[in-house]
Amino acid sequence: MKFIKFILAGVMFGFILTKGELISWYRWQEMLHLDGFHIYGIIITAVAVGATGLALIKKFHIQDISGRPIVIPDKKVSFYRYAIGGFIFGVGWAIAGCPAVHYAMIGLGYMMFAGILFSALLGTFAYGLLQKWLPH
Amino acid sequence: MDFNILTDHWHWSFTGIMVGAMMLLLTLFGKFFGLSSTYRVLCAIGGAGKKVAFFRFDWKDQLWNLFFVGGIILGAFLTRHFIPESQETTLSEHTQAFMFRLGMIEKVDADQLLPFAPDKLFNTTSPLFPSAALILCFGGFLSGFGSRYAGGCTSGHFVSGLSNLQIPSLITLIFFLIGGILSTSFFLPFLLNNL
Repeated sequence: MKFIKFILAGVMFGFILTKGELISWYRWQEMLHLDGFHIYGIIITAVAVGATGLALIKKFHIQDISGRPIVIPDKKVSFYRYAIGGFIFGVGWAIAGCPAVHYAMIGLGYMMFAGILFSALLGTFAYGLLQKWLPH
Repeated sequence: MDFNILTDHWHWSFTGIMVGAMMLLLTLFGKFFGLSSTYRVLCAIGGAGKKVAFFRFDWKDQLWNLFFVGGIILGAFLTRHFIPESQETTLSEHTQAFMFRLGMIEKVDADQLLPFAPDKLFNTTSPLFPSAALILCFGGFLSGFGSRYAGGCTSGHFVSGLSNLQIPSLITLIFFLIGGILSTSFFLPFLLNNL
């Protein structure tokens, strides 16, 4: 089963999200009231670790576990999609969180997040529908 | 140092290291750490590709990600059942005062432990149901729409993208914060007071 390692990694991440209080609705509110360092601290530390790791991977041309070179695609350069998309994402996130939260909160028994997840799928579908007419 | 990884509250720096390590682990697996793409995959599996070209893509490459998020649900579930004390959070007094005014918490007390989300909003037995559910689902809709528009969510942009020194991820983060701050301070109270 080649997918087992991803399930195990997911279980680990679900544990991290819960123990790290990243899924706590109150924590996001605190973050966005610029009133607590908790989530900012997590992002800054994660990026410090991630950036160091990726730099080492590039410097030493480290391969992935199946022996292929690791290539991390650059994000397409533009402004509008990131500014407008980021803004809308922020408005929604402040109320209902992001995908990682939706999945983890379902596991924690907050079944309202099943509805929220379904709404997020509708939002994703709406983007696909309107993509042609949106500035990117 | 006496630190029990299972039952103690985690310091943010420890959580940050774990999140960064998780991203690197998936990179070593040859994958890209980003969860909002699972929404696109789920739309595609649901048949959205019949109507909209955006959902006609080879999502079998992304199948691993569905196993990953399935693992997240399982991991959270296991944490809840085996470490029940991991379900609460402390909160700064200033935000508590704001939540109190919104009617989300009973009292302001710096030492109190709160659940991960207020029952007032998230429980179907709350007097605010179903209008609270409507607000939350509207938030979910914007979150799904905005993350796809921006090409990534918290994990894809703010962990993977920033770690890879991507300017687009920085732009996304800045506008995400502006949107989020306006939303939590004005939009959410407005919705709660008018529904």
